Amino acid sequence: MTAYILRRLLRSVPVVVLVSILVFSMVEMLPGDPVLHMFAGQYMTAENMATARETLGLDQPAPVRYLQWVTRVFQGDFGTSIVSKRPVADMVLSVLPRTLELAMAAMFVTIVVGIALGVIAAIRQNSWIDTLVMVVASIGVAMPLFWSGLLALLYFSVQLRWFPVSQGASFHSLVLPAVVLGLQSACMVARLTRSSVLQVLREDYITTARAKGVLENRVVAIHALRNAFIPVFTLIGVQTSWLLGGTVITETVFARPGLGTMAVDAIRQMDFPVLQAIVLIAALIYTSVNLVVDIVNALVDPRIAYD
Amino acid sequence: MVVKKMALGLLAGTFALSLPVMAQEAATPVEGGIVRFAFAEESRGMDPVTAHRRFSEAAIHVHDSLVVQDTSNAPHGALAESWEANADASQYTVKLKTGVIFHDGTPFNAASVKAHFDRLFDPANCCSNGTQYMAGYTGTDIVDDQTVVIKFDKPMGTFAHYIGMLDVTAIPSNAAWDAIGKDMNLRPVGAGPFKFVEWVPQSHVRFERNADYNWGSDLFDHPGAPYIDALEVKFIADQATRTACLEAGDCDIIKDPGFAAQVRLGSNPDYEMVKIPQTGMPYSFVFNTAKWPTDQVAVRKAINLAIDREKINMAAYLGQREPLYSTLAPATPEFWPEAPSLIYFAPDEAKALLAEAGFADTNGDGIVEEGGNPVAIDLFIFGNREGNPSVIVAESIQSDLAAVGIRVNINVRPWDDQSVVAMNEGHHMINFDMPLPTASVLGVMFNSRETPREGRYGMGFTYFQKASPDNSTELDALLDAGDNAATFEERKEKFIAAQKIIGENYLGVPISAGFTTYIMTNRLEGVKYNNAGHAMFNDAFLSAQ
Repeated sequence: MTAYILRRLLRSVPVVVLVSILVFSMVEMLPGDPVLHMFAGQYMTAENMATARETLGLDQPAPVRYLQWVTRVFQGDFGTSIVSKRPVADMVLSVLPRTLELAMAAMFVTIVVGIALGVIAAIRQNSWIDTLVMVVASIGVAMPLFWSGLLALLYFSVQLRWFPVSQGASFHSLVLPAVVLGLQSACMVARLTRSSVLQVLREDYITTARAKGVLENRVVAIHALRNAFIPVFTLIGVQTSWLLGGTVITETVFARPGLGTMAVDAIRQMDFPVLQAIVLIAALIYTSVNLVVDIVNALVDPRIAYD
Repeated sequence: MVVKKMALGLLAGTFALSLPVMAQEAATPVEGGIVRFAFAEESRGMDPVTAHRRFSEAAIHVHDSLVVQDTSNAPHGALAESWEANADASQYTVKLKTGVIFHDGTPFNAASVKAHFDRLFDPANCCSNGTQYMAGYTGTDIVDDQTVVIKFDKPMGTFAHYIGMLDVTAIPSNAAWDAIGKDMNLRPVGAGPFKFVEWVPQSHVRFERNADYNWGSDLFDHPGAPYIDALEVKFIADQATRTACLEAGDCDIIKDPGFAAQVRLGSNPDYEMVKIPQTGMPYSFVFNTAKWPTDQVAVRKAINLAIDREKINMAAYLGQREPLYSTLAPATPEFWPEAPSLIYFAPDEAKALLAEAGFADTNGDGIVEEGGNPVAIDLFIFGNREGNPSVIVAESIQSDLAAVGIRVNINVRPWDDQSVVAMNEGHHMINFDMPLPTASVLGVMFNSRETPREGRYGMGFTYFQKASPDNSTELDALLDAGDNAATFEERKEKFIAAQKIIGENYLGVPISAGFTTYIMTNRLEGVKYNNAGHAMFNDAFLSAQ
């Protein structure tokens, strides 16, 4: 198992290196002069442009700048924001907990609601409950996040005034965005949980358990769910990364500080150091989550060969 | 809802006289409370020297500038008691108010002003926005503790206006700058009506009342400390969320709501809407005059006459902007009143113009040709495709021009591609939006010096110097003379002459003039606005209703 984990870790290294090259190349890939983009809309003399280019290190060859950048990143230095003039690491660290808080709260909603609805739909297959759950899940999957977010905002915040709009870091202000973000993911989990549980319930060993007189609740809870959860767990791992992406939209709609709103602002303001840091961190989180999912899958599913 | 449109009048004299701003309804101010104010863009920084590109409008509450201008561009002394230019406007003598104290307890004086301008032009603080408004600055002399002379190496009539711009003359505490340097961008120390408390990134900036403040401009009803205890500026990028914040009672005032929200809340008695007209060159296109077929005046005029601007205003902006028939918005101080007589909606006249110029549809496909070449226009707009009113504007222009026999190819690009597109001269018509406060904006678009080139950002997209070198040279001279004029009369005369050349050569296609729009709860009273459309809360209070 240790060898498997090490191999998986080593396989992640080229991914991370490739991502770092792509992230760094964002500035290079822009058509034209990046300084022109950064100062678009502002009157700049040639001297000012040259100074800005020198300050930003853009007068150096790209490979040299990449190596300098990677070295600094390894030391935890992502540079300084062009816009706010703050250290990028400080900026990211100041909002990262808010994004993780939202993603974890949404994940809680996803797991609790998604699995519960999926199991109920499976054990009540072809009943009105099953139909209702699947219709709601289909609508939930199809509805864009910004749309469901706005609807929730208008109904629960403006009409009912249960939740605040743009109210800082309180638990109260976390509920609505977490539910909106988590429910869409929960709909996908519910659909997969239902089909996975139904598939397992048709297995011979379940029939054997029933024939031996095991109670139906025990058959489902102990014998069926354990195996049915393997694909669901993989989906939840993928959904963790999806939820991080979803925070970009959710944070914007609910005016919450976080990596998502910071990324949107950075794109709007052409703040490349901030954007590079956010994309790199998101890629590292994505890679790490996939690694953890693979390892846990190998632990819980003996059919996965370590070699 | 009460809808107020602030009148922007023309200036008389050297920016000295103006039309009065519509007065707010009289009410007894109530002390206390927190006003929560939401707008879209997070602060780019709150120090005039180090802020990137633009000084944040959130900073207007923590800094006072030398002068503040009201919505009719009339100047009012803020930190300056008086100011006066010499005969050729190359030097400005500014007498400062006494008794002004920065938030760190240090006094404001002539040394503060000199130190600020020296920092502004220090190469180590490269690229602050304020320097572009003080071209030719050579230094500041301290005459005495309360008097400075600001000097330029050429006549700078425009400084009489720019002296009121926050980017230029908001004066931070020199002692604080020496202590924390560029961190002033994050923790500003000024002499304004509110003290900085905290900036939570991506969320809000919070200010508290400056209880010592008693040097307020006469633009306000009272010179003393604000009535409200605190001001919270929230950054809410999404228009619908800003509107929801107001309607949910979590915001008291929001800036630039969506057009649908303006229409919907326009009939709601619980809110008040204030619309401040834009100046400068609002939403327009300019022609590439060096490229066939827009190298011909007849084609440029025909295009202008074929476009139904009323229809565009309704379709793209739900009637919440105003159709524009002149290069400059009518609210601009140097506006030429006869300009709108050159542009009107007359599609039949447009067809006749094209026919007279030798364009005809010989193959019956609905598109006119010249020498067998069909007239097709490459039109560039910028931004996203989704939810972008520019797309509706472009499609409306496409349908109007098709009706007179001109094909339009619509190109949608990111905003940052604008200079690249123009540099490659791929455009016939290119979109821009520059609602700046004075006619100096004409120089940015029509002075041949501003033509973009490698290593030099510029917005001179017309290439008029190629199409008509003599006219272009005359236009350049007028624009420079207007900028360097010593008096407002001279300045206006030059810029009117420039507008005549621009108008009679149909260098552009004005489309619509907008407003800086605020919607606020009826509880909030006494908000004032400056000429940049920024809200100021010196007199603001929350009534008990």
